[in-house]
Amino acid sequence: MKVNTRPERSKMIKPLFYRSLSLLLVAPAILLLMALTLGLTGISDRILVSMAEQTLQEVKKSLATQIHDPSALEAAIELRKEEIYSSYGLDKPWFYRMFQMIIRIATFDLGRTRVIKSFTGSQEVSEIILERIPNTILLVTIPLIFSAIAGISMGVKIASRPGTLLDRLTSYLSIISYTLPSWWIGIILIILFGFYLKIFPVSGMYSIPPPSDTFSRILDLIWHSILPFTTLVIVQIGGWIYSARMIVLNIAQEDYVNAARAKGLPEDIVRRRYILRVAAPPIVTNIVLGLSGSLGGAIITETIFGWYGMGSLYYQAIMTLEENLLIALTYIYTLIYISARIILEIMYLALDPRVRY
Amino acid sequence: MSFVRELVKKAWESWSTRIGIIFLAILIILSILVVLTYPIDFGTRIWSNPSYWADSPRLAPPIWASFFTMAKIPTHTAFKLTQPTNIQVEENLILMEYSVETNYGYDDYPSFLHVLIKNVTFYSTKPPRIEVWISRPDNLIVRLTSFTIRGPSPIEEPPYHRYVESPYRIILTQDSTSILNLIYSLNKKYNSNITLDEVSIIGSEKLFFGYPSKLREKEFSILRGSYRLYVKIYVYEGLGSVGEVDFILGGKTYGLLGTDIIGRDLMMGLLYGFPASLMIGFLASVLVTSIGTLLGVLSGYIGGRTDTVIQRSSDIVLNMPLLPILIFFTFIFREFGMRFLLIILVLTAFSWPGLTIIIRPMVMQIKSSQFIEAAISCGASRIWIMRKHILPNLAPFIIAQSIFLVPSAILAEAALSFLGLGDPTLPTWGQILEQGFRSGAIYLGYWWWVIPPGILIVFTAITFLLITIGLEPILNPKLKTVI
Repeated sequence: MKVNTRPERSKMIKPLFYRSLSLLLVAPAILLLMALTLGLTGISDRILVSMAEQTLQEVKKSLATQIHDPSALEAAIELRKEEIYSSYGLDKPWFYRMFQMIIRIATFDLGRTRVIKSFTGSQEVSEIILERIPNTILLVTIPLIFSAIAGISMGVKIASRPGTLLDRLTSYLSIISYTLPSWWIGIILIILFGFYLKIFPVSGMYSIPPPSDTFSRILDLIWHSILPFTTLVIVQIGGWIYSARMIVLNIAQEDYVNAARAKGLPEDIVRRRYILRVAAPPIVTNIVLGLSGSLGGAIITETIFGWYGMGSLYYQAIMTLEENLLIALTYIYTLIYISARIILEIMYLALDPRVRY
Repeated sequence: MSFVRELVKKAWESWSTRIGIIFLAILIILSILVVLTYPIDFGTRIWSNPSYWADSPRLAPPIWASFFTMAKIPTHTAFKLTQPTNIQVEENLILMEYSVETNYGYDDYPSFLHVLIKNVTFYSTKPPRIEVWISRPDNLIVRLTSFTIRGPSPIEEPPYHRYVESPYRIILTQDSTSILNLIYSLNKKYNSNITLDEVSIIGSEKLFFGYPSKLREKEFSILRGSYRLYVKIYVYEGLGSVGEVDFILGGKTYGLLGTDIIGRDLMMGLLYGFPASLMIGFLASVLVTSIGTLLGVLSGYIGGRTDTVIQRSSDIVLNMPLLPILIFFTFIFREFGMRFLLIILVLTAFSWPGLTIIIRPMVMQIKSSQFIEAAISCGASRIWIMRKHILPNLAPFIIAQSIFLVPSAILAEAALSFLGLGDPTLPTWGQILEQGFRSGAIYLGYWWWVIPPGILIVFTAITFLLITIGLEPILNPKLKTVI
């Protein structure tokens, strides 16, 4: 009987397709979940009614100056009230409106906010989000890349000598780092360097007033980002060290590595070809997931440092109940995350010959 | 229960687990002590009730903080007198005197001076009269303030009771009569010309415990020496009694961990955080573990359509952004009360898939082993097999995982509390941190308000992580060395 060692392409593509499909389902699922919650709790209706009442009050004022007969005024107001309520979609039940909203947001027509404005004064949700993305990348992504590179190289290094004093010390420190909440470290750094030593600013992205020329603006921004950068590196690096160390340690104890050593291969080659090569895919996975997750995860850090990113925007949106903004932001976080997951699935298939569904 | 013994034995071999278990014992002992000694409604009746804290100094750092400054900073002192120090009986009049003497030798002024009068009983229609006096080391004796207790109403029958529910509080350092009387005496003695308008600039506590040292600049120096504070109570026509008279000298430092902006003793709140955090951590962990395990076992053992549905839904939930979703749901449902339960439920609803996905292949592996086949052929039911064969085999793994879930739940609750979504009836470390942050503690340098709660959160999380490190060989049997 002929044994097929290479699975056919279709056998690889079909499961990948299903897996991607289930990942893609996350986005509509989250939209549905949020819309149902806002609708069923009556919060969506409440927001709209308060908006409609506000408009009605203004209309009442202008009508009162034109119509002086009380009963005619009453009738006119009643007529306008119905018009206003139906213009907000309040004449139909909430699920009808919510369904429309899901379709709209799913097709990237993100709508407008009620109160929150962009820096340029626009109330388009897409504009507000777009101008925040670079800020978040600056605050979150750069420290993440830095701590991933530093952490992984340290983790790999200490994993080659497990059980030594350095290894133990680093491992314990990295556990502490893993449990440190970023907001608490942020607070300590602000008190220490911002309040007592007065070396760094305590909050914000730029000085007030911001410097006029571009070069000093960039310097100002760097000066403001040093504390958040340090905070995020302190809390993240431990996770990277520990996970890299565990991955490498796991592989280093495999039989084939021992076999390679037994063959008399130099330690350097064993490390590079037999350990690190195998350790690469899971480490890459961590990096990709970390990067895609980082865009949504900085809510508290951004709030503490007064940073105008997507995280503090989300917090602002929830506190002011900006329905459109809230759902749109969650949708975008989810999309970023699931696209990264799908890319990873494809990468696995291409990189690791052992991965078959 | 042999697997539990096995687990403990294996875990005990590791140093980190041993340290973790010792830490956990400390946490549990402290929690039990707190639960036994604190009232059940601590959160609503004491912690979130500003009037409870009216007599403690605001934003006072811990006592030990003054070791660094070398100066003698006044500590918080309360003198509580239940018996009068002196009684004079005259015709139709009893004079009760409550007096305390204190030697003031600090390098700073106190933050306030309060006099509290509790539980006054009298019989005559002419109500008792109360006077508050101060006698200072510079031989200045001042009658600060005097007043008459509210008399009986026509429908009231003797004995008349006053200040039973809440004490009568005279905030001497804010009482304009007392301040005016003091200014008058000081001006006379020191030839100064202080006016009432200047008191807010000078600081009223300096009038009580200082003297004008440089007349032109209106500067005050501390007057060290023996002070006597006394309250005279004149009771007319017959009997009368006073429950308690308190003199409270507000410190510039307070307790082992200081106070916050409404004068709350932070140590009390932080201690309460131990049972609160452990409860949230354990409850969330138990819920997540049970749901995750149940679905994982069902998915792996039953297979077919059940498996597909469970796996797809866990895939979907697993890939939702956790923190935004947690914030969203806690915020939306926050008005329904029992917010800490809500936090636990939301946390559970979005954290179970991790465990379900890991457990499923393990169940499938056990299912295909021969002893299960043997059990089936003997006529064992599905539930029996799951209970008697599959769960015991998974138990060490599940227990290890559930310990690992505790710190993540505690950290998640702290994060939500920090965003102002915590349960006000159940003060936690995250909430204390949040109040500190919102009150601008970090921009004003109130380190004692924000650093200890963080240390406790980290300590608790590390405790559980240390325990799990020792369990790593169970989670990951291939691994021989851990730390």
